[in-house]
Amino acid sequence: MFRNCRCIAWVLLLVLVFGVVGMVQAQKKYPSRPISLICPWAAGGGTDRVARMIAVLLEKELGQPVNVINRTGGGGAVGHSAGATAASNGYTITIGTVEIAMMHWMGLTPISYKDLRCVAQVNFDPAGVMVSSTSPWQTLEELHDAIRANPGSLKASGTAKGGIWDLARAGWMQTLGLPESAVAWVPSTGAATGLQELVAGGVDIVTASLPEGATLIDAGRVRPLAIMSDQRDPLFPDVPTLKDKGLDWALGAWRGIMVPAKTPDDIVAILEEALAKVVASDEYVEFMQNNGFGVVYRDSKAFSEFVAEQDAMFGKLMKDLGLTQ
Amino acid sequence: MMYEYLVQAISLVAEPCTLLTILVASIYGLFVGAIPGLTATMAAALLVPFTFFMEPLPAMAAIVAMEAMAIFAGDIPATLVRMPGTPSSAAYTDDCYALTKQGKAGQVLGVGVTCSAIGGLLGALSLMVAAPLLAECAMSFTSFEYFWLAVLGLSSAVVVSSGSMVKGAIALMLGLLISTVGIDITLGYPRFTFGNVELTGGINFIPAMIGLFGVSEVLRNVLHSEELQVATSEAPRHIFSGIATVVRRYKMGILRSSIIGVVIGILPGAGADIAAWIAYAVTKNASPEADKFGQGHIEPIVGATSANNAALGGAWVPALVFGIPGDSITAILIGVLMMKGLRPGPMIFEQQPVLLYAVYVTFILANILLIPLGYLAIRSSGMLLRVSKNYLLPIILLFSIVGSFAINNSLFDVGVMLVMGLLGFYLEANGVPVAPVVLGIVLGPIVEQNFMISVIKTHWSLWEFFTRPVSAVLCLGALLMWGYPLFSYFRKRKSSLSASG
Amino acid sequence: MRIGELVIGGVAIALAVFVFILTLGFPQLPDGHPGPGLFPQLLAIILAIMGLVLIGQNLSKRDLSPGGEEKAEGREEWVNILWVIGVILCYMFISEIAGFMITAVVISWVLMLRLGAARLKGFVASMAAVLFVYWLFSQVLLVPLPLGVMGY
Repeated sequence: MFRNCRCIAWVLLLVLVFGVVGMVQAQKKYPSRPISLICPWAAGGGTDRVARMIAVLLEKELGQPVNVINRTGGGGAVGHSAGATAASNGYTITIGTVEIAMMHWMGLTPISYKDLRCVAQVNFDPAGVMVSSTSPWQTLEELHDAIRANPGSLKASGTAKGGIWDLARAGWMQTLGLPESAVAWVPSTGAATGLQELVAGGVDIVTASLPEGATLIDAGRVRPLAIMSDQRDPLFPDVPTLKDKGLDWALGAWRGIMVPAKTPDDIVAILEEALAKVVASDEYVEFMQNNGFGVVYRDSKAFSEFVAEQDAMFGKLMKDLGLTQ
Repeated sequence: MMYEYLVQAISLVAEPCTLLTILVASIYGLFVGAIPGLTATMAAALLVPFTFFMEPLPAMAAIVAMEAMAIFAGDIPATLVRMPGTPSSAAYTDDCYALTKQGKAGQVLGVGVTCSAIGGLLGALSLMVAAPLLAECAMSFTSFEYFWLAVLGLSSAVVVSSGSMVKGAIALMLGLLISTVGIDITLGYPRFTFGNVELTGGINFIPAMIGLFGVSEVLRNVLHSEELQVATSEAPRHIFSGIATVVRRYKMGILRSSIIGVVIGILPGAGADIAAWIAYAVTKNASPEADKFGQGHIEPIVGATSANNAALGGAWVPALVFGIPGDSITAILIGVLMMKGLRPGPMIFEQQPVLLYAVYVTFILANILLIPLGYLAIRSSGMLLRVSKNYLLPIILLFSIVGSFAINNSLFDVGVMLVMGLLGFYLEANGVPVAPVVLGIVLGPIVEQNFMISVIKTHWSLWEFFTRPVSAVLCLGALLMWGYPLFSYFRKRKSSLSASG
Repeated sequence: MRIGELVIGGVAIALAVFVFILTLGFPQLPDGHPGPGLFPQLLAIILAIMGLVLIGQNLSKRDLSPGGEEKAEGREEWVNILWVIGVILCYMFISEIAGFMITAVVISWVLMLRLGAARLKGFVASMAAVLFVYWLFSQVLLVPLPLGVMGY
């Protein structure tokens, strides 16, 4: 049974030799080999589509293949953790989503935005207020009156409990001066299932972003009443913002490229420059418009400050809601 | 007018560029489907960057051809080495493999490819004819209906499982418990994660399936060293011999299963895999030879493999009509369409009728192409089996490892595969079936989430589970599925009692 | 009476009790209704009942034959199982360092040798298989296989 020992010893020696050769080879200008782009959400979803588009365009800028890796699960916890704990050599980058500023407050992962370095924001989508087209509410005011008249009787959906659209709903209620239970939250596995419930009459309101409901809005099944933003969405110019209605509440989902916290400055600079070109490119803008995603660019410094602000805001909101651990 | 569109559509599809795309996508689909761990969904996601550079029609045609091929190709490794290539083949893997052991791999795959093509064609036809009608009905489904649908699926697990009901139920409970690992939907609370971030994502179903079916088979094989020097089984031969008899004999079964497939496909959130399970259980309940199921009988394969291909066409219905995906592949399709500036919805039927007809034509073409291309794939897969086991088993293990890794690029999933392999090995050594474990993992979240969503919606009033019309029908269906075997059991017992008395 | 089935029944009950105890620590919904713990608790109860039934069925069977297939396997064959487990663990721990190519060739070759394949033929076979897998996954399907420190 030990007749193969010598063979195995040879193989191990070979491994060692290749290892040393490889170490020497690794000292080249960044990027000298393919880059992995971690997407914390499933293939086919919105974040995945944005990630794949960025990967294609980034490859053009950097001259190295960029491969999208889906690391899904745990409401984004798995992918963000993988991105934060990867080697800080710029070869593993992550498309971070708004959840990075939320998950650690719920105790889902010890990873927070501090474990990642923000390179560039590439997108922002504000939350919306959508109702079924068979509902009696034509305007936001009518909906507010209905909520005030019967607090707790209307139900909203769009994500799991404690997800981004649930928080959008809770903040909206707070800004109205109502308890957050004035509109009950029905959990769902995502905006699509929430919208399906809305159309089928299972819930009354969906607070997902309008592009997520665009096909149903076009089909005349869903009526958008407002968006939770400071500016109107150019794709839905007729839909008022909460600010237009005198409510100071804005919240949305955002995406951006992040790298592990200890990544050296020169690598971050190279990526930042490439991403600035990517986001400004015609292909990217056209792609985002066709998909209904909003293009918002922030550079490394501005994005870092934005994420820190968002993190503090979510922390306070989630504490009020009793979602923190 | 319809005729005009059809002619235009055919000329669009007949362009060399489109035809070439269909051919390449078909070969790609066969490859991906035949490799455990790579699902048709993943294959579609990998196609997306290529569709950036395509016209809308070739892009859609590529997805159509790819998925039709991939769902059939999943049967190939299921039959030859007992590893379902895609989850859609899991329901009848044991039947296929049992027949392979009897030296009938060729016939199984021949039946598989033929029935997949027939099911696919029926799916395509129903997509053409009934799209708007059927989609309207599916739109009224809410969490109550999905709950019952999943219960129907779970019931089929116990019906499907061969042998002891108690053991089947234990296996199902294990699968359901495995599915509860990870973040809960009602409060976002991490369950049974023991502080591990990877576990917050839950136990991934693909590596679990590869472990339960594939690795456990490798483990069982290495236990019998005297057999290691011989080849696994004969290469598939006589692929189409006797096919006409089988098709003629089970033609009603094929039709029934295809209808089941289309209906399940139309429902958002339930795709080809669930269609296969339910078709299997229905076939079993309706069959006079139910006792042969699970031990190498062609009938359940005929039923389930037509259903999973028929589901593909069904899944396109809500995707095109309302932009609500019928399964995970059409979710990607919607993304691709949006990228092309085509927003799926009722408008697309008025604005792009020719394009839609071209998609229907592609569906039909892809399913016809499935027969020759599938034949070639079966023939070439046979090479694998002329290798003796002491070479083959390590290679199968290699594919299992890489397949488990590939779905989520995580070594943790390789660990999941190993643990599930050991679990499956031990369970099977003691006569506990592993198929219900797999089904439990798939349907567990659907059952639980829809139940919780429903009760939260209605403030814990359980009435609506029974009073909503569609709910009530599905509930009745579940009861029938449980009731029928019991009923026939008692009837048999009564008749045997009266005969002896 | 089959020892294996008794073990499965016993483990099922133990698992059910363990799960049930864990779920007692789960939070409830804000309105006081059961939340994340409800479904696992139900499953645990059914699992425990099924475990008891399985044990009961076995104890009531009078025949004390070992049952199942005759265990003809010797110690060597069980060691094979350990080798399979070993190579999977080995892949999990060294593939990130040594890279996919080398790790995969090593583990499949070692396992072939263990199962009694010829040395050279085994090496060629594992090389061919690994190159094929590498080409398929890494080049065609763009799955990033572990690169290891030297990049392949």
